Amino acid sequence: MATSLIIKKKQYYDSVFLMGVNKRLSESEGVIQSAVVMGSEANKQTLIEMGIQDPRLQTAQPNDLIVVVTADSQHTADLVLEQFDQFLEVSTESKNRSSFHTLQDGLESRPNANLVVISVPGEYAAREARLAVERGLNVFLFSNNVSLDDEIEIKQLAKEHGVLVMGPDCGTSILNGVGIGFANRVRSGPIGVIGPSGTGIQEFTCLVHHLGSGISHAIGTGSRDLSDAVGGMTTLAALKALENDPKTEVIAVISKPPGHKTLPMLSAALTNCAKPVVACFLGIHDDVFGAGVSFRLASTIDEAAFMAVGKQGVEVKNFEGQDKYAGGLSGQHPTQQYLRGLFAGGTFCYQSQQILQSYNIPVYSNSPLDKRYALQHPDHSQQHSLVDMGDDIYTRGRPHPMIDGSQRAQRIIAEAEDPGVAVILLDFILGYNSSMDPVSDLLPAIQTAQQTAARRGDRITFVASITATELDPQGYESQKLALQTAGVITFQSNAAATKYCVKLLRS
Amino acid sequence: MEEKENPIQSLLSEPLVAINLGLVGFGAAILDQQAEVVLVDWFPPAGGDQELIDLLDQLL
Repeated sequence: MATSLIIKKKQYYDSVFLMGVNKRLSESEGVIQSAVVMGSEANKQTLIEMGIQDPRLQTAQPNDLIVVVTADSQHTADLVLEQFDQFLEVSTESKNRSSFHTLQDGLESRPNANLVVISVPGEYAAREARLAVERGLNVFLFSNNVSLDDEIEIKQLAKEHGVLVMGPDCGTSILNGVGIGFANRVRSGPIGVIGPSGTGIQEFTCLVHHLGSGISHAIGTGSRDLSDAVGGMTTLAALKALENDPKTEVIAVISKPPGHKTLPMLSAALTNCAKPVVACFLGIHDDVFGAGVSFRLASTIDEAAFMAVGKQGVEVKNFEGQDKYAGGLSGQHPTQQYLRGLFAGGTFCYQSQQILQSYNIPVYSNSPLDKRYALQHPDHSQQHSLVDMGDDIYTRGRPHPMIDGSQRAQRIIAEAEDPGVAVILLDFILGYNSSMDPVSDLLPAIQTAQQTAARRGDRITFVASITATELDPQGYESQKLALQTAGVITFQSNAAATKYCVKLLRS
Repeated sequence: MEEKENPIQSLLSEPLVAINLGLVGFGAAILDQQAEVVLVDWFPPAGGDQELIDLLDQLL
């Protein structure tokens, strides 16, 4: 085994692009491990932690490209690096390089711009966001690793300039029918939605679409906006904007529980809103709010979608699939009793835990609702376990499971080795910027898991939610059909899929 | 005199005109939706040297 390294000076590429290059590189014959990263301090530190000792690492600058290959022989490692430009060139074909290099260049080209989409590395993101806000521009800030102090300062600055800052760590918005970041293609309509969670917004907007209605705007706020430190600055600004927006007739707010100080303030703002409001604060029930609250409270995202489209009387269970499969766990071995959830969407991991808890089913997680149920190691499930595979531990320097299913595929195979596993719950999130074929990314692993169980005389039941519409670029029907053909039981919502798992566990 | 629409209401009422800094895929997806977007081929300013960036910002 041998390792080779090259540093390509002043060749900057974005991280998602480089992850794609690295994936192809790592699939080359003889390659054991590879890394293709920019020379930021954080990346250099990660390489050192991976055991890369080359002193040239310290000379690399943030605009320099570092390529490291560990292969079965020195010859292979050197050969792959010699051919590296070919990997880059093949990939560059799909990369539209522009002659504009700064925000100012972009503004000179489009003085009428009304949004800046920022997804640069966290250490530079706050600066770019500040520059945009100071120029009177709204911001969609996808970048994470922006400090809390920077977030507060930028949002206060946004308030002064009368602009909206969606983020940092904002995954999804839909503005006038245009999806920004990870967004599904949905029908336009009268419902506006605000929320800190990208996948929460994605599921809500898809369900509104499935129910025959549509979305005016979906405004992501960033994951910390409803914390007491930030105080919901973006949420409140978005609420005001949707209240004044003539296309929006109903407003939904979807979020994990806000901070203790922020909740009453938000509750007052929702109550004073001139338009009907539906709120879903996963885990917060009616009894938290006193009398005089005028908004409707939903306990799950799918219930919020039903309320928002005005189908209050329709039971949530009517979402596709719920009534089709009443077979329970028949044919499974009595020792098979555990559920394992492997999620790309953090909000789905959160909501599923809540649903299981509401049925008094204890569940472990790497992102637990109750610290007593924290997994000792995120890679090792115990009893009922739900794993957020979009957590930092899985995504530092590696692609998010919504983009690349490799890590989730490995975990599915690992879970199947445990004879106690009865059900594996998954989520598939389609839409712009997600994997173009998320089902094919995981199907071989699902089949391997099924074979592993079959060799023991067992059967594992696979259940999945699909967050998608028929307008999404991946093709919703073909993705669903591929899952169903492989024996996976599919649902249109995470809550419906989870409740079905509860039914299975109780059968 | 005509009152200028505030930037947030403009974002919600007028066609999107975006400037994309960072992930190329994000800009490409906006283009796919037939919306207007400028793709900026961004890289860290001043070679990523934070002290130089601060100096640069003071000069601007």
